[in-house]
Amino acid sequence: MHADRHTVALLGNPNTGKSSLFTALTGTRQKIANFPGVTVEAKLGTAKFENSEITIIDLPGTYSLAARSPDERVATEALLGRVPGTPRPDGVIIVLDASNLERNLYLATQVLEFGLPAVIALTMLDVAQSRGITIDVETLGKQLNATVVPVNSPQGKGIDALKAALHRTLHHPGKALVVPFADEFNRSVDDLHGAVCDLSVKLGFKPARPEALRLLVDGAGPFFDECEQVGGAAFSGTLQKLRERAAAGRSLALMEAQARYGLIGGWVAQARTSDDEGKRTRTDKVDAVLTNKVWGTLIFIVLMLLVFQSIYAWAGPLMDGIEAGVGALGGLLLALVPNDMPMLHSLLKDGVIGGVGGVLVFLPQILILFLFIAILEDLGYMSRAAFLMDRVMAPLGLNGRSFIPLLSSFACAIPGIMGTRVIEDRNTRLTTIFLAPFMSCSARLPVYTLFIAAFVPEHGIGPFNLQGLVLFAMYWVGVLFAIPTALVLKRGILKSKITPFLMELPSYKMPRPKAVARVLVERGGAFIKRAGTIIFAVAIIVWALAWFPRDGAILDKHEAAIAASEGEVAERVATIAKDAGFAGDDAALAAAITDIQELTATHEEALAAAEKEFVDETELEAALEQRSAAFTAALLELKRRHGAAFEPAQAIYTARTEGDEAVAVIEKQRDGELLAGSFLGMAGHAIEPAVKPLGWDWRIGMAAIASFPAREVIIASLGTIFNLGGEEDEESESLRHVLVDAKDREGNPLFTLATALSIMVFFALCAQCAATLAIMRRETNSWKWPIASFVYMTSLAYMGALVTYQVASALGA
Amino acid sequence: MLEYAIVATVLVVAAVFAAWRVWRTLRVSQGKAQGHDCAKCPAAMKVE
Repeated sequence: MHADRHTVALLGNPNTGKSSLFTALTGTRQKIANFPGVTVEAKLGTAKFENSEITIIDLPGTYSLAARSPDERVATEALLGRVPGTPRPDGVIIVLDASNLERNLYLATQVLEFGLPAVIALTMLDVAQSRGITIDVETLGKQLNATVVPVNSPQGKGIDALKAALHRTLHHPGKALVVPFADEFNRSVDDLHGAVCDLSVKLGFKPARPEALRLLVDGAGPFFDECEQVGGAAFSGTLQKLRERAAAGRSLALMEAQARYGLIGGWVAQARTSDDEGKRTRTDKVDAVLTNKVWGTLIFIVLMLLVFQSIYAWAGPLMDGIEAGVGALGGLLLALVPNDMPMLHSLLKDGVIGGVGGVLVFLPQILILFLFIAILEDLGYMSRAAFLMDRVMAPLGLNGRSFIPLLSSFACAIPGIMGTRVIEDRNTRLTTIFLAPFMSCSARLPVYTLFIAAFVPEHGIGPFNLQGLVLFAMYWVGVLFAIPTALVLKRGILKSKITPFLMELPSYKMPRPKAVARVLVERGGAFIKRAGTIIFAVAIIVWALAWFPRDGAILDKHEAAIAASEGEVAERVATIAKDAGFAGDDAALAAAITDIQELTATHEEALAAAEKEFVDETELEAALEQRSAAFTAALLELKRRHGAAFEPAQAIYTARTEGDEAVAVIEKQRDGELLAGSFLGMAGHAIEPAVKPLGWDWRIGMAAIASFPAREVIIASLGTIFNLGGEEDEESESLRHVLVDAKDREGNPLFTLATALSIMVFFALCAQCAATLAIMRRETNSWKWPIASFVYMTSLAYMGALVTYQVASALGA
Repeated sequence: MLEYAIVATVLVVAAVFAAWRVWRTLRVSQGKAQGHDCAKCPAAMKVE
């Protein structure tokens, strides 16, 4: 039984260690509290001390209590106990980052004005000490009129002392801090407080004085909206008059900042000593370069180039490994299917292995991309990238607040769109939501890498590889189209003024292997889950549409052709044997055929290996000549060994090989005709005229259409469609090779570099993600935006692919 | 017969799953389902 029950609010700037302090105080006794009407959420937890039970409300990190959006007003509302379902706090814990004392104390002065019993948790003392900063905790406490407790949450230090201080403080009434504002300013606050208190019946609560102060300084925000709604024009007029009187021609925000920082400056001067006052830290020195307009941007571009280069340099062997693994697993699965079940065999081979297996091959590339992102994030570099980009965004009418969701959209547009909730301006938020799907998400990576690996040569350009450069360029395609889109929206229907953006640049730190590993496990897991669920389901559906209906007439026609071809070969073999004076089942003849077969197979392997090994043409020619000479010598040796049986054996081997080739051609024709007659084929032929100008045939068109629910599906769809169409290479099951060998109706290569570029541009720009459109609908509360995004992006993708194909073809690609 | 039964079962499961995903996506779009938890999403890039 707990005698005492209290509620305490936990407040602080972002990145002050507030969340780890909350966890250290409450352990696992946490739950999420949703605040009605806003999108932010707070955590509620319980801390126990002696016979007290303290409910702690962990409020979202904030730099100030100034509220431009309902989300930012939550901290004030929660402090005053006005959030339904959340208890009114009896006190407050203010978290202060010792290494950034002034800025943290700014919020503290605003909170202390409410007069709630307060305890200060001083965090990051180790960081401060490493910078030569010493804080006199007792002096600081005296200045603030509150107990200051140094804490180190990860090590559990100071937590019990904090609980004890809290316990003591909660039993003593708090005293509101008085910030020395100018007299006229204070009188205006008092008058405004009186005016808003007159509205308290209509408002449903009695506003506190610090709220009136905020209203006077900010002159806008959700509290102003509420007051204006009940007080009407009369209230707005009063506020305007009081603001003019308090300001007397100066900026109210500046007056507030000067008064608060003046007070803070006095406190800090007494409580803090620094060994290297005025010296620049290592982080400052590095930042001078990394956030420099020219050098920083250059380093950012080179860094990104290196990331994309590594994707190609490192992923190859890993992909080969997965390919081999998928192939072996597929072989095992197929061995379980009886020979008289061709449909089940095809479902497994073409649908599951050719479809889902083809997607899994791209796991290493996803992991390499996220390895770099995780390292750069943990290092603290991403904030610098956001800072750099803030400059680029301003001419577009956007700011750093938009950049963070857009940067996040390079991984996935969904959290990016949800991240736009931090943008208080509606029009800027809508613009950012509209731009998010333009950023190349990780689902596009497999599409790019498949086509780049297959159709872009591996040439080196200076220190870079052409494939890596093309991949880097693909990531910019969306950005290039997003820029004019933003300009049109922000200067047209979504016009708004730019609001200031404050972002903290955290100190650099060594990336933690555990944190990086966690990102990789989560990211890899999400990719595999997607391949195993939605991609798997769509691959099966695509397979069924490409398999059914089976036209009996086509099957019969080709079966008869195969039987005729086989009969012809058997007849030729019998005639050759008879003419040479051998019986059909002669052992010497059979042995000679086997030897020739084995020797030819070995020779073909040697030729293929040489082609892979030698890049230089002269060297390759010499190697091929050498192997051919060895083959001729081995053949002569066989002739000497087998004597009279050699000549007919060679003729029989040739007849059988030609027969096998003829059967393969018939089977390929049969598979092609069956696919063309399937539901997918019929629909594909109907849409072919629309995709023909993009350089696509109906099979690519259908694979692209199947990818509208989720864009990675194209890999699985292409695998299934081309395998079912009899395009798979007998020696290599890799989709890359299947696509390289695919032919159009005239027998020409279906894919050229121009086709590959056209497909990639289409995928870079198209809105092929149902989940993103759904989130867009939810966040904008209207179908207007997702429909506009879908129509706009799909049209842009079509036009982009068309221009790319036509220009690339004209240039001979 | 067995072959048809296996293939039909796989197809039905895939179709039901796909239909469920469509239904859930619509519910998410109307805010009736969670759909995506931003805080837990491994794809969310954390910019401090």
